[in-house]
Amino acid sequence: MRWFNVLFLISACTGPETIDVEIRDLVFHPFDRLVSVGDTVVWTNRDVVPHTVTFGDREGQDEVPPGGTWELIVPPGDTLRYRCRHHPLMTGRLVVR
Amino acid sequence: MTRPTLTLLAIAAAVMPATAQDPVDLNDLEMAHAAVTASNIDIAYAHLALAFSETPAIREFAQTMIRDHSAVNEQVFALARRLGVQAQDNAFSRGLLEQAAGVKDEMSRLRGPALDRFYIENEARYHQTVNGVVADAFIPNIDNPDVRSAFEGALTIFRGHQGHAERLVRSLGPSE
Repeated sequence: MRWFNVLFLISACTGPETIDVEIRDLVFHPFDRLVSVGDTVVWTNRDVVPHTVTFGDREGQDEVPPGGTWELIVPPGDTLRYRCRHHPLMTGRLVVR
Repeated sequence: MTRPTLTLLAIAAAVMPATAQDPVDLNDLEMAHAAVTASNIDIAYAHLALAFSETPAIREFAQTMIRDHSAVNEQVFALARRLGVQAQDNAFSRGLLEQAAGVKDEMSRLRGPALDRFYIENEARYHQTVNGVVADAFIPNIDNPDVRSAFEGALTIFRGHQGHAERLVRSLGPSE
């Protein structure tokens, strides 16, 4: 029974997580986040102006309207840096375990 | 009534017309009018920049100004509708418009790098001045908590614009 509990806990700890990032006051909160491959990161825009979550030079379906959300399933990699194309001072980082 | 700092007074004196009403004397509805007017002025500058500048970074900044200031204005209008009130025209708003006319005339005459520099240096200065008025003269004197909250949110965004403009000014290097 104890072994079953331990295995359950390990499974629960290593399964994909959903991680929330708030966009508020022209800042990504948190700016820096440790993530695992397969986790889902959800950005929610709490500002009254539109933002983007842009990785590298990729543009397109990255707009996050006020009150809207944007999701990413973390791909294999090292450190993923992102920014808002509209507000260049807004940057964030996902550090992949 | 909270009085503005000496720094704000110095900046405002350098940028605002002498005939303009003292910003600390405005009521909530007049402050809302002044905020929308200041945003509309910035939107007008941005349209001129888009019409005449071919520099991608300047054009992107101008598009952000149109997008953000339109969104903030819409928030002010929505709040006014919810409160059943209307922004009130005032001498301070008219002073802002008078001063903006000169800036728009100058922008219309310039092209190329001279236009880019004039536009973005004015943006840095304009946001610094307006942000100072909003922070030191408007917010401490707003009566309605919903209006105050809207101004505080807008100020955060406008400070971001100021930082963005200042970064672009630095990227242009020193004036010749």
